[in-house]
Amino acid sequence: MLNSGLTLRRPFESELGAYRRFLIANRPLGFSRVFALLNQLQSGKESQLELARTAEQRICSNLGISYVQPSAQFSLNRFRNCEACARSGYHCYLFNASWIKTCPVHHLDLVSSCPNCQHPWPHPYELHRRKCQCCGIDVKFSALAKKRALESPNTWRAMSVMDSVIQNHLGRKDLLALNASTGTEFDMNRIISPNVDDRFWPVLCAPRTARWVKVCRDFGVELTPIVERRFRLKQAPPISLDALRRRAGYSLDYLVSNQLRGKMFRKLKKALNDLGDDAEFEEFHFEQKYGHHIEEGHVGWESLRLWLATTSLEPGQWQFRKSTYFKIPIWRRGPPKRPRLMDRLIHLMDGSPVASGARLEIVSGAMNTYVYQIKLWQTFLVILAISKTFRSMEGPEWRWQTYRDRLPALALPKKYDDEPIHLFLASPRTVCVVAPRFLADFSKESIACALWPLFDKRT
Amino acid sequence: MSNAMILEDASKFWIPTPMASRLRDRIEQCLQCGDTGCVIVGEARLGKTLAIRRIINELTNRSGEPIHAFYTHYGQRDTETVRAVFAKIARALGAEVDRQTADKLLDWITLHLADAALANSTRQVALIVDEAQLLTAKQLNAFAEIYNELVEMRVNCSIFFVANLDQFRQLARNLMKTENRYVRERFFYNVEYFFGIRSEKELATCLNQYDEYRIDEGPGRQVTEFFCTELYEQGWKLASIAPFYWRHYREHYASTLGQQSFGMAQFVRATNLLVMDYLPHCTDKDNTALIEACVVKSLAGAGIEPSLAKLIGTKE
Repeated sequence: MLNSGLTLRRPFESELGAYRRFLIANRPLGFSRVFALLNQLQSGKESQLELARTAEQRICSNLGISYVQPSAQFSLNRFRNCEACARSGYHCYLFNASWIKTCPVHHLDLVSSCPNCQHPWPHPYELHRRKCQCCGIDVKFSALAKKRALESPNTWRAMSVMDSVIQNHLGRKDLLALNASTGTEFDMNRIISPNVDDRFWPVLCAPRTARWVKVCRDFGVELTPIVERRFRLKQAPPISLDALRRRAGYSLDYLVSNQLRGKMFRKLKKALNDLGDDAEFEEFHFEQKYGHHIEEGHVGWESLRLWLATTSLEPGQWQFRKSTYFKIPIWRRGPPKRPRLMDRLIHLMDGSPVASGARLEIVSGAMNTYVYQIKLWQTFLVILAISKTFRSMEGPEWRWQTYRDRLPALALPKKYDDEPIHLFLASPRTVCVVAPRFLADFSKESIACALWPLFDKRT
Repeated sequence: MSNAMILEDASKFWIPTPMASRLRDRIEQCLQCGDTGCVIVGEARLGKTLAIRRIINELTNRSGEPIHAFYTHYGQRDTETVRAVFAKIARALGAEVDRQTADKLLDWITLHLADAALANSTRQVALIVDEAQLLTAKQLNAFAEIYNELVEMRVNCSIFFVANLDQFRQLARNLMKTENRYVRERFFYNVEYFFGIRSEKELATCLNQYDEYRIDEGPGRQVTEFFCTELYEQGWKLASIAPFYWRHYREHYASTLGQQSFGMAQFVRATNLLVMDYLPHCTDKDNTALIEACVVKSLAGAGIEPSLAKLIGTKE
């Protein structure tokens, strides 16, 4: 029986990456046997690469998982890869796009030869002969295997959705940065990825709509990407991005219902109820209306969900709770008089300096940062809050300056002490999302999370 | 949850015990010696399941690489089929089990375990089956099949069965039959007995763990400090009561009820009672008579002597 290492699959995997995973998973069998078994799959002239794909496809159909073909949009003759990615057995097809210079995960230069053995990155057909620990098949998936083994197959399914949308609707020319201005547009604002052990490539995407642009402009905030490109889709996707978000919403529901624990849930509910002064409440059922809610957000929820869902959760740590609904304030008739959700949220957070009554000094200059110990559900809430804050700040009566002037009252901590733990990052006129490196590793109930508020004293 | 409730939350509360570390060593020995399986038996409420669930994330091979272990437990079913076993394992591995055939479920399980075995260079993976006494000899074939499939993929799978000794005898008798030899030789060759606390030394170790158990998160207060503040301030430790704690248990419960060991469930019940309800009233560490009285009352209040036995007698 052939294995495909399917559980170890990561999104945006190139053909090289997929084939390498296949070989690593079947390495114990011996390659002569692997190739013999592959040849038994289908007689004909298919290459080993295609046969490996067939094998994986069969496994997927057997297990009822949708199969996503690895991207073949780039030439197999010339690869670029990041050393650290290569050591974990991963290659992303986006690496071959000329506009990507460095790996956004490890911040290493993308190089065309293996830094370990100095040979060019192997062609798939010579992979099994490479003995190098960096570019060959002598790779261990230790951390990834341990983590993924516990994960729900839902994660794979969600990945498939993402992969298929990106792959099927971005043409090669698009990926090579034809900056087309017409047609259906798709912004790839930032490619983020959690840490070294379990890196994959969620793409934070936002539709380029007039409303979104306006919000950003009024707000004095731009999405700042590591790599920003605007792509023209080859054709209109069969499902809209909104629909995709809706689908991702179901998955987010899964995440939330899995991870919000009873008491926390009630606390959240109560907290949200408290915010009701200026808001209408919409009572929504997770499965029915969540998608709608997500759709209105500006964050790439599907990425976020994937990113959070593939983090390692200790069994039993996040107890499952089937909650039917909770109330979320939605400001339908314009924003409240002040952006209170964020304010209150800050007070809600366990470990927040504000919540514990500490007086902290604002240091103007370099960076003002919140560092919180927050729990996962709170992470979610923060994300929700950020997107809602955007909405609440849309109205004409809202003034950025006013908001910023009030910030000292929120008592910001005075130092920024832990680099890899940003969840949200905002420098002047900038807001974007950075995947915290630790997040894929967190195994404790609380995760440390740095919130860079959407302001800076210097501006 | 208030701090005090942490001790009451039985599903979360766990202290490392000498018995659990022995069990961990035994399982690791099996894995490192390439044994295909082992059966761990013990009486009810000794703490087998909690111990197992705690140690499965710590297993390593000789090189220190992680060996991933999956936990599943079985229950009494009307239909005792092989598919039911596959379905239970597949569910434990995260599969959505619907109406798949046994073959598809087997594929799922095999691939999942094979992928998990990539975590180490010895290609090892472990499966732990709790409440194994509820399985029939026929259903054990399912595990043999999983094992065979994984062997074909050059993956070394060890399967550990955890069973209640009282109910396991029936299955054990069946396994002794010649036709079940191939299952027996695979997984039931090694039998490891799991006991509760069996000596004063073990009891002292467990009490010491209580002393070191932190009620608050992070560098918070210890149990003794939190509940018995006055005694703690005098330098008193819970472990110091081990001699008369053990003596009272042995004389009034172990010998009269014929218990071979002090089950963790009973121990935790009695000690929680002692720590949370009785000892807070003691203010002088030198007043050993009062502390001993607290121990006596806690043991009496822990329900070690079953009420049903009082009602109908201990004889069946």
